[in-house]
Amino acid sequence: MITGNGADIGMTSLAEDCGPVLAWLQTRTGADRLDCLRVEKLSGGAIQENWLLQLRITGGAHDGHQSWVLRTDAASSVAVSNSRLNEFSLLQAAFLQGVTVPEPLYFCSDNTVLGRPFFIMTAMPGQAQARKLVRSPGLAEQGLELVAQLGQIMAKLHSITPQTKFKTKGLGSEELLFFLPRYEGSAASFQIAQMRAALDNLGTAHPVLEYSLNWLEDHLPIWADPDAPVLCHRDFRTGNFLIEDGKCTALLDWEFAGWSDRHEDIGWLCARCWRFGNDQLPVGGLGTFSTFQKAYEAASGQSLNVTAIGYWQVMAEIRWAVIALQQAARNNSGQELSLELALSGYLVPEMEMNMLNLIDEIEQGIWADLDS
Amino acid sequence: MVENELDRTSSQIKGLIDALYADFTGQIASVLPENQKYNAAMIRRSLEILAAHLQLENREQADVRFKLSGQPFSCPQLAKALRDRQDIGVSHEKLREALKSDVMHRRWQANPKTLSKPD
Repeated sequence: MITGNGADIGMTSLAEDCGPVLAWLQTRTGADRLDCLRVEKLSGGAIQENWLLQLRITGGAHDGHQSWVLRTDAASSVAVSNSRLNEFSLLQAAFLQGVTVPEPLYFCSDNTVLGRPFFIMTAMPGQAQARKLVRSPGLAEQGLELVAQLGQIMAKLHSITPQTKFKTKGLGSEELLFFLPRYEGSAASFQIAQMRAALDNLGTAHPVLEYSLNWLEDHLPIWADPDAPVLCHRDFRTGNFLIEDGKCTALLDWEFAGWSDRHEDIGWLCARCWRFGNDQLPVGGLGTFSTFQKAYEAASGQSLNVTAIGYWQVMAEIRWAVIALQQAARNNSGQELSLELALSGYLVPEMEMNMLNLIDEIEQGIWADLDS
Repeated sequence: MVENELDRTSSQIKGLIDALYADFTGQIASVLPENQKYNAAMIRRSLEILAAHLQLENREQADVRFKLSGQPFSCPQLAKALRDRQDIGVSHEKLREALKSDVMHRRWQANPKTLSKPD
């Protein structure tokens, strides 16, 4: 038996038609009865939709009250994002490695259920809204501890390599991440080629991005260390992790994850565009870099190349600018009309100014490390 | 005095956007429920951007945005020249200065209520 509480259900697609999802869940969980107490679309996510499902399950593998999240595609996605199946595998890999993530539970590839693939994971407590987090009154007290924890989480994530084997339930040892593309040479030159290809696909002219990509390419010997690739989240930033009582409870949104240089994740987390106005706190507007670095190095046993991080910060600004342009293009093409997507294009000058200023600082020798 | 039809049309559209902005921010946005505040903020910002675009003088909307060492470049021309690694004829510092000047204008267009208009 399946029931849904209409009073809590808003006028949204899943809420209007959650019956097939609940029936599918009842089969997967082996429940005798599944009551849906609440279904609510969660805020955020221009590329994916997240729905909170509060369930009362009788019998089966998850007997009792459960708070789960259903994650599925928005109407369209950006070119470089992973499919939901791949994202589910990434989440499994991270969970099995002990990274602080929601537990991935079930994946559904049957399009007759929701009309598109989706997966179910546990709901985690906490606040993700970046602007609220960086203005939190508790930040002064808890910020250092938080960025140290972020350093430990990132180190755990970066312990996953293409050679890592995972023990999955009933399946034995598996290469869960076989689908992630490998690159030749350095991650940096791979990224530069990817960004140029993305600009070509957009079909619009962006001199600042072209100049900055040339500048990065001209300095590759300084920063592009062809270290063995590690699993990078590639969107590890304030806004993509949940914080509760000054502690990170979950790292979210794995759609961009892939093999890369560990410094890419750090450059992204510390890029000015992700500090949300708290420029004096380089680690996501939350804390100092020295604290993060100490925790990361202690947890990973790897020394960071601080010089490289400045270059990866320039790359971060370029990459976010390209993603923002892709989002705006989705609206401008009529593919998915959305004011939020349209306004993304107007964020680009901010990133362009950041990258030009950063290049100036590095060229003039003003940039020494992230706390300077 | 309005000099031509184009100016008259721009003036009318600007007036329309200003009135729309005043109505929206003064009467509509304030009574919207909490879950519509984000949408309201996006609409307000969109109207601000539209008004800023209309404020631009023709000179600023011209195809030739970059004058480097006497050589004029449109935005696509400069992007292509940079991709092709052509000699632009100016130092990196001068080029970054020109790029920054262009960014400053576009940044103001994107945030006309919070930034002052660059010279």
